[in-house]
Amino acid sequence: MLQLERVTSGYGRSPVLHEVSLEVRAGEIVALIGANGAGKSTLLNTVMGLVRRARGSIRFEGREIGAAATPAIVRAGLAQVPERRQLFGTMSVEENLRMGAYARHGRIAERLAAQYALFPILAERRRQAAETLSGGEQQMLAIARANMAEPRLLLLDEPSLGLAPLLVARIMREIARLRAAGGTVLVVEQNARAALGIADRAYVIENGRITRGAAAGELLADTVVQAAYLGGEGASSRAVEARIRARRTAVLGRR
Amino acid sequence: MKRRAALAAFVLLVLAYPLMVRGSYPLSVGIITGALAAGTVGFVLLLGYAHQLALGQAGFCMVGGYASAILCVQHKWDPLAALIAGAAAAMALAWMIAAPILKLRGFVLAMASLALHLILVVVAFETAFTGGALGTYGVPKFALFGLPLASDLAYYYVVWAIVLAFVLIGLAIDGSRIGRALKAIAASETAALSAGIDIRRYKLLMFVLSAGMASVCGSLAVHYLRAMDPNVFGFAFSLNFITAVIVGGLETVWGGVVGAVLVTGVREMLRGLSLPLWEGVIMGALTVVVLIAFRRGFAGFLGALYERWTSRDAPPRVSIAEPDNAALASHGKPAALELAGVSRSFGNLRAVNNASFHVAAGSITALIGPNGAGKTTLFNLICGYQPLDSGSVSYENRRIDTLLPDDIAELGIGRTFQNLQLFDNMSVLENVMCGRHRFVEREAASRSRARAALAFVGLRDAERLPPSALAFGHQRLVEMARALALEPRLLLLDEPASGLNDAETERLAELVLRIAALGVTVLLVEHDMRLVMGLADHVIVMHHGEKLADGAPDDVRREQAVIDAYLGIEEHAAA
Repeated sequence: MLQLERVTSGYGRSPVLHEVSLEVRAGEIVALIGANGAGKSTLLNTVMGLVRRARGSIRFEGREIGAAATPAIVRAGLAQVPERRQLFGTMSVEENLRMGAYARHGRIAERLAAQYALFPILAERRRQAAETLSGGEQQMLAIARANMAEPRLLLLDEPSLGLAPLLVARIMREIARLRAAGGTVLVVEQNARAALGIADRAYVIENGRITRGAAAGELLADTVVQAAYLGGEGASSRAVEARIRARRTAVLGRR
Repeated sequence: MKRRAALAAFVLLVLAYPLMVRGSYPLSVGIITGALAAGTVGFVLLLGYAHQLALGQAGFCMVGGYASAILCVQHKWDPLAALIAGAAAAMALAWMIAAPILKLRGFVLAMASLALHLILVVVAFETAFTGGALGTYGVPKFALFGLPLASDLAYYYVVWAIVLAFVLIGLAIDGSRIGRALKAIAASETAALSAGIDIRRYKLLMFVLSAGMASVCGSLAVHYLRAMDPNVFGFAFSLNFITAVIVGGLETVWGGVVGAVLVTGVREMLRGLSLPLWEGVIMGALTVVVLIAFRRGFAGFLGALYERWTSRDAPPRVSIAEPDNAALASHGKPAALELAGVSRSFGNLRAVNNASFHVAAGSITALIGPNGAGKTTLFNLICGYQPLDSGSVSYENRRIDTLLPDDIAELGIGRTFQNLQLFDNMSVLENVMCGRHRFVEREAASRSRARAALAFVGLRDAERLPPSALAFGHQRLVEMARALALEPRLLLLDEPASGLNDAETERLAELVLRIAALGVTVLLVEHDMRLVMGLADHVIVMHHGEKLADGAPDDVRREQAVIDAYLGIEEHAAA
């Protein structure tokens, strides 16, 4: 559905992405994991035409979109949920959703109903200003707003950002449900464990280059990936916590 | 370098202009341009630096104009003394109208200054001492220390020397902690407050300064026109100011000079064509063209040309350097914080309800709870961003709940923000230098302390970049460095680990420990339970605005109410 071939892009004169190639097939959840500054958000922004691609080809459903403007890309069937959500804070939930339909007219009521069915909590809060929603609800609204454009491919940038542990699990379940409803998702996540938990396949990006691409389960089991992104060997949250505690005793000399 | 090149070009052009032209007319244009530039340089300080629009700047020109005319004609004052008296009066007037209204947000200053101007016009028309509608005639030529300036050439040089002095004042502000504070205010008032910057004070300062400079503009013009009446500085003159600085550019005081030259230059050229009908149309069209073609104004365009001409290689990629533990010295004794019965509602929503807790000096205390539990609201209440409905907040046994955010920052309470509040109009290093605002010290000292804070968080390589060039997680570190530069004794961190992967989260944990080891009490809001349970001495759980539990990490995680509201099954199973 989406193919990137040897894409180089970035800001100003210094490229952030170097010859990136990846593929998302219809009906898949593909995760992109990597450190801060590796180029994950830049990759999504390049696909959406928000960052200019310098070289390489970006094809969506066989059509080259590398040179297209963002509104045309949205009309072609791609939608992005940006990092930190970027909702219209003072507008109501429903107004936010209507803004999501801006690029594609018609059947608004039907599309609204579909999103309210998918996220019932948003129906309850339809008249509330977006900024008064809790973090998890805001994330759901951001996803629902992107869905209003009826994208065939949804790009999610850090959906778990700033969410309480219970809500991270919940949002991941919602994303998995999007796939069950026939959607295709490319998700960028710092919380690699959560993302790999729902993804079919995943890519690892380091310093602007794709270094691995494999089935999600394979990466979860890979010791190199574990060490770099999943908190290392014995990466249960208890092990990480114990390591932090040990450092606390060493640095502060308490317990 | 850029600054020196600009100053050299300015002095050269000012000196050369009279030599390049013939006759008295071009020289008179030069004088009028200079008088306008004196005012527009001040206006850049107000509109460009302090982001405050004033629609009645010509009112202050009237103050200067009438002071010079009346004092010199009726009271035979020395012109220089009259000019200074006029500027002082204008500044006093500016302070009187702005001090009360700058508490309000929005366009109040624009309207108040316009109202002041209209009042001054009425006063000038209706009173006797101004000469009424006929005005005051026979204003003498300008004089310096009793020596009259007989020739226009001499006056031309005096006017432009004053412009140069104003530019130097502007550049000095630009390069100082005041200039940095103004840029900070323009980028994010919230973050500026957290760095201890008194927003109102600096806006007021710029308004008063710009009024003084506008008054000088009025005086200089009147000594050239040799007469003053109520119509000399009308509303159109205020618009001249606005057009000039927008066309010229709002980023540096040079924009004021360039704008004054462009506005008068173009107008005189059009006048030469003698097409009275088209003059206004062409002026308007040119303004729009400049605005579209040069978004940063003409001065910004010239600056960009210079930069392209002398530019170096692209900035290097940022990688996290090994943090330097020795970079910061101990901050002294950590501070304690006490909340008693704190409540705050927004409409029907009780965001915080009767919350009481103690943050022990030297502890790492974590505040956890579901999204929307009131954690960030509590931070805002502690830091003075919102008033309490009831209850009290004490820091070091002192009530701080009636203080303003910048005063609270000055006491040594640093904070970071959940949704990052960095100043994107400055480099990373300057961002951190803003944290030094509460210390009155030399720039070099500020810079080296800010560098030390950056080295401490491991961001030494990034100092010249704009924060937006960094990844989200690295921007977090810049915010922490800025808060550390303030030498806090209590540091509030709002979700520092969000947007970090697991390896980075462990590095963050190490950083928080090193901060605590400096002698800083840490209060953090965080969702990453590994971080919270690993780091904290004490955990406070909030739910629906109320305190649900409070205790040691291992006790809190076993409480059924906490598991139900927040932690969920997995954490419970793991425990």
